Amino acid sequence: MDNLMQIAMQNVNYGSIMPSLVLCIFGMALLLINVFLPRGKTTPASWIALIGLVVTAVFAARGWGDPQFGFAGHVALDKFASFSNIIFLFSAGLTILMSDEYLQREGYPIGEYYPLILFATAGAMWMASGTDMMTIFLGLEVLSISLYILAGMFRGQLRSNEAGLKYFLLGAFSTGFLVYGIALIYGVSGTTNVADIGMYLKSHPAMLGNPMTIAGMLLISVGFLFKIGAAPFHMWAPDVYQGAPTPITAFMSAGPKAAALVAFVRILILGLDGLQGDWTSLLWVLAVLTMTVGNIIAINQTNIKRMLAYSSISHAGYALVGLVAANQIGVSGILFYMLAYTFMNLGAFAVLVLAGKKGEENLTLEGFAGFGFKRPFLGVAMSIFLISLMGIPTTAGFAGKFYIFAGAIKAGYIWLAVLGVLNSAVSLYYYLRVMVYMYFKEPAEDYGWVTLHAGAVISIIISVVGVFYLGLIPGKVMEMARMALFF
Amino acid sequence: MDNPEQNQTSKKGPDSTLFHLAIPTLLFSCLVWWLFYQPLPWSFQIAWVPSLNIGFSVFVDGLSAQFLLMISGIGCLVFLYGTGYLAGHKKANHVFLLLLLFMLAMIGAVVSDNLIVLFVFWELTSVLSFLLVGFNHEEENNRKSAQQAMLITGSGGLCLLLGCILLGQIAGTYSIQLLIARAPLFINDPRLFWALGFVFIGAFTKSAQFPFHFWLPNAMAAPTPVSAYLHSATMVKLGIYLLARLDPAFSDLFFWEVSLITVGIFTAVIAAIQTIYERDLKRILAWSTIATLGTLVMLVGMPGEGAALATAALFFAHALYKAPLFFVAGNLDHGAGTRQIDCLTGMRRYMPWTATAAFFAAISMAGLPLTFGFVAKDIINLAKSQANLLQLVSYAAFFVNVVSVAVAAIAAIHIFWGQDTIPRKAQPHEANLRMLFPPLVLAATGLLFGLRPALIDPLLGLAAQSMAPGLDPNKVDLSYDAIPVIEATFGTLALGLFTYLRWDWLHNKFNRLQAIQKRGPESWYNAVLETLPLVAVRSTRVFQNGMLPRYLLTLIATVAALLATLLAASGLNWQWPEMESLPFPVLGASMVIAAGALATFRVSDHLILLLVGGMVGYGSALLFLFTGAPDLALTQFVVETIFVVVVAAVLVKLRSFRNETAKVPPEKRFRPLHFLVAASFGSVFVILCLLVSALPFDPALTDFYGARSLLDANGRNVVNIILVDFRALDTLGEISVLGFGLLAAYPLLKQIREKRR
Repeated sequence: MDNLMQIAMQNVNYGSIMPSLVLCIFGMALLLINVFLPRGKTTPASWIALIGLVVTAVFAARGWGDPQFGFAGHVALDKFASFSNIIFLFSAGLTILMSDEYLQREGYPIGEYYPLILFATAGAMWMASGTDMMTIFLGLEVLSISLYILAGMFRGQLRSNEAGLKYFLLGAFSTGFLVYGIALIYGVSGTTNVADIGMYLKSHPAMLGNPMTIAGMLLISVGFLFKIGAAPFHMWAPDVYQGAPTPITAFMSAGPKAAALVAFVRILILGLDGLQGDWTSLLWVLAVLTMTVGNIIAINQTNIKRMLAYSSISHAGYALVGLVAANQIGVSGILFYMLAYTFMNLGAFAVLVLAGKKGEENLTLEGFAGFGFKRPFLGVAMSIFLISLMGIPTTAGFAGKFYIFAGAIKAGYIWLAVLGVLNSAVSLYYYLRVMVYMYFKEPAEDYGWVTLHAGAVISIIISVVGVFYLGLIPGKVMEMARMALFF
Repeated sequence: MDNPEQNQTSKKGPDSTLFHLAIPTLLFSCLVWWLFYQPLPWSFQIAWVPSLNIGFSVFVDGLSAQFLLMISGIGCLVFLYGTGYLAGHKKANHVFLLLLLFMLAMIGAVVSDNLIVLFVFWELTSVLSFLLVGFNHEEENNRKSAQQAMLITGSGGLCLLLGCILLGQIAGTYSIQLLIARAPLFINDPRLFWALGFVFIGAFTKSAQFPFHFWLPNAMAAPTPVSAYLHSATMVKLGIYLLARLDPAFSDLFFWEVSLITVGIFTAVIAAIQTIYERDLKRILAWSTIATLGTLVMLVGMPGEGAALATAALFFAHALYKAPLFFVAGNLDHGAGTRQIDCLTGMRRYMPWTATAAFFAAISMAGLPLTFGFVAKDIINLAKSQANLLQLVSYAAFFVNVVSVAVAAIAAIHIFWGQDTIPRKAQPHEANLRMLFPPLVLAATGLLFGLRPALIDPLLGLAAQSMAPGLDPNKVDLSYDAIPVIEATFGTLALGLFTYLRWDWLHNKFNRLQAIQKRGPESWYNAVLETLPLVAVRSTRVFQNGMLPRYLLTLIATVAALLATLLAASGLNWQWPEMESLPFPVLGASMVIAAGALATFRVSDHLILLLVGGMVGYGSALLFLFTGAPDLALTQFVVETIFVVVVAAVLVKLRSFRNETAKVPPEKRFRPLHFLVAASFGSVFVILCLLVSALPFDPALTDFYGARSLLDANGRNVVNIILVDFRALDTLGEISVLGFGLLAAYPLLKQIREKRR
């Protein structure tokens, strides 16, 4: 028995899961605390959740200088995971900051909201530090299930219900594909450890051509592409993004998407390296499709929340371009881009959270007429985020796109870069339209009802700082993203 | 529109606005001082993105210095003019701030030695131009123009980025100087075609070359100081600046030469024709600016040192005569309230100083002797004669010159001389000093350099040297012998004056050609802008219709297609397993699954559908049971049962919600598309399973457990030992899943029952 215990406890290294462990503890504690909070009071819960994130950040940062491995090669808190964890923490933190007043306004001050965000973040962290298919899958499920609930959180709103249900049903389906793929790859290689799969395929090149291996790769890709929201597996995204509570939409389009991307990166580059020819040609097509589809549906949106949500599909497409490149610049570009995207997108959503009335019927282009002059702070902030989303220089969005396209060109995918740039040009149109309305139209009202709540304002300020920091001095963070790579 | 009335109202603290002049003046004076004391080129570096070798490296040679002088010098005058033009305007401070930012961005663009940094500033000028053009945003047209300028120059900028990255990849550096130095090494790289193609698109959009030229006249919606500064003197020249910068590297390329000369001259001719059918003075000036830009592009494309010198001279000359003419247009707008040339005659009487400025600027534009325009024209003619161009190009250039003489005549003669016969509401008045000083200074400078070209020799020489490194700047001598040049330009002048006299007649003639304009590039732009949302709406309606079945269908069909492609490619070497190897219970369980699956076809009632679905689940559990996974089977049984019971309870509950009056149309029984997708999905997976089972079975685990169960766990029943010993934690997990399932089901069922009571 001692023997068994030893085997079981071997390699257990709590240091390697410390960040997510802290998050889970805070999440569970919050669940309990919520019971004792008076009904409708969620503010203390939000602060506790924020404290949890800060504490987690300390542990997550520790993985940078001192990588931790554990659980028999299932988990690695390496630089790659640490960098990703920071992305998740920022997206969760900014989301929580903007949430409290929003929940009150919409009439759903539900205590479980914050623990669920923490659990989702913990799931994302497992995905990033998972070095075994099973860990990654576990993380994916924890993340997804939390999100299913969060998306459908506003029980009285049909759209929110629809979002939760649709996301759940389609998500369950795609997870099925993912498990199928994992099983096939396991069947081929006899292991679920990502690095071992890579080793096996390297030493058995004959298996690379086996349809089972490629089918496994395809099915795994389908699972992840679904989570990333890449076309043609993106169809859930618009409906879910539209129906989910606004801060959750913001969260979903940044943190979880980044989680799926980094896990995908690890599996493809570390585990399925041998199939690179196959998956790059698959992703090449899908990246172009994703960018185009995302931009095209974003064009005809007159509701800004929907426009931002839809356009986040195309941003996933840009990130995929970096994966197609599969070189140092491209992949570190993905990390950089997701961090940049977190700031610019969450910032923009924070402005929407403040500018919305109950039910958010007013978040249309018309509803923003003259907004820039009436509410200068929010107007300028929104413009900065939009300019960054367009990819205009001096902002984070430009630096990110630059790295990704540079990676693609360096890898010889010139046409992919061309199509990416053309798509950026299309996106100018709808982002610019918001600015035209904000600054060039006469205000129909004086927006007196917009109050600047501390939480959302802080998240806007953090985002603005992030957008400019990454845009003006991208060198340092880019260097870190480069160091974070495991290849 | 500009508001002349606001000029008279609210004139408090006239000097406070002059504060805006501080920074431009400081910059300009520093620059001039430096130019005298510090020999060119200046260069220094600041690291920016070390990982990609992108630094803010500053390199100022003659070309950059020339641009710096134009940017800061004309900048000063524009600011001064602006304080008069926008006096009392409620958003004047906005404009000054944007103009200042714009000025800094321009400076950044022309001093940067790094392509990427240059691009960064380039895009900034586009954004600022967008904000400045949209400044008078009360009118729909102005908003559209602002958006158009931004979309075209912004997209062009993105292409430029692509071109820059490609160039950087080819050359292995983003530094322009290094790139020029290394050019002979990679001049034959096939990728260069694409790289330069994208750079061209960027430069042509910025510098308003065909087919992207149409945004510039529309951008005249901007306030006049902005038009004078951005759309004539500086920003639109940025594209040509870049081409001129890269010229020493690529001037030997046939592709380079041919594209630039063709596009340049074509643009110039198109613009010259368009000039004739405008009646708005500012738009006339805009078109003639495009014509000049076209000429500049052509000059950059032309090989030889003479062309380089001509480019540098025309840069200067154009800035010196076109900016004052824009100021004049602004003064007329202010003083007479219109820019329509039909409503403007005899203005000399009311606006003598404006008339003077217009006159001197116009003679420079027409290229009359004693002006700098004349000097420039002389050098250009020389360059053309050296370059042995096609005859056609020469004729085209001649035509462009004729029109430009005519435009000069319009600006100087038509508007200010003759009788003022047009009835007006208010007497036109002369502009104030701040609006008179800038055009006069610029026109006078043009005259000064025309009289003493030696003053500007060294700078132009250095600028030309940047484009043609072989040129010796000390040998540049702009002094000329007037008589032969006059003889050479006589034809242009005479025809130009003739064109001027028959302007209205030509205008009417050309009006008939407007059908062409309806099919021109601007209509393509509009068509794209109109169809894009249409395509978006249509495709969204088809693909993003919110119907879950449709989404699932797409998902499944895509996966099936992917796998089918793969299987087809891999040659389909699968085989059916031998029949007798199937034991009876396994066959039975499979039958249950198949029966359940088939039954879903025939059933439409949700409750029964659920039960049928449960049958599939039970079948799989049986399958597990008979193939050696009793634990899995147990879990599956329980979970399946709970699932069916809970969902059934919910369904029953939902039935009571169903609105009996709302008739749900009966669903179509058979959907061929769905059937096809389902069938192919199923077949693909069956084939996949067969492939998997064809692989040799890996006995590692069986052997391991067989060998170790007695030794490690003292048991002979291997299944048992696996469950409770080797995989004890897994079993614990399974039991927990069961427990949680029950726990979750309990409150749900309880609540439903309570509600029923």
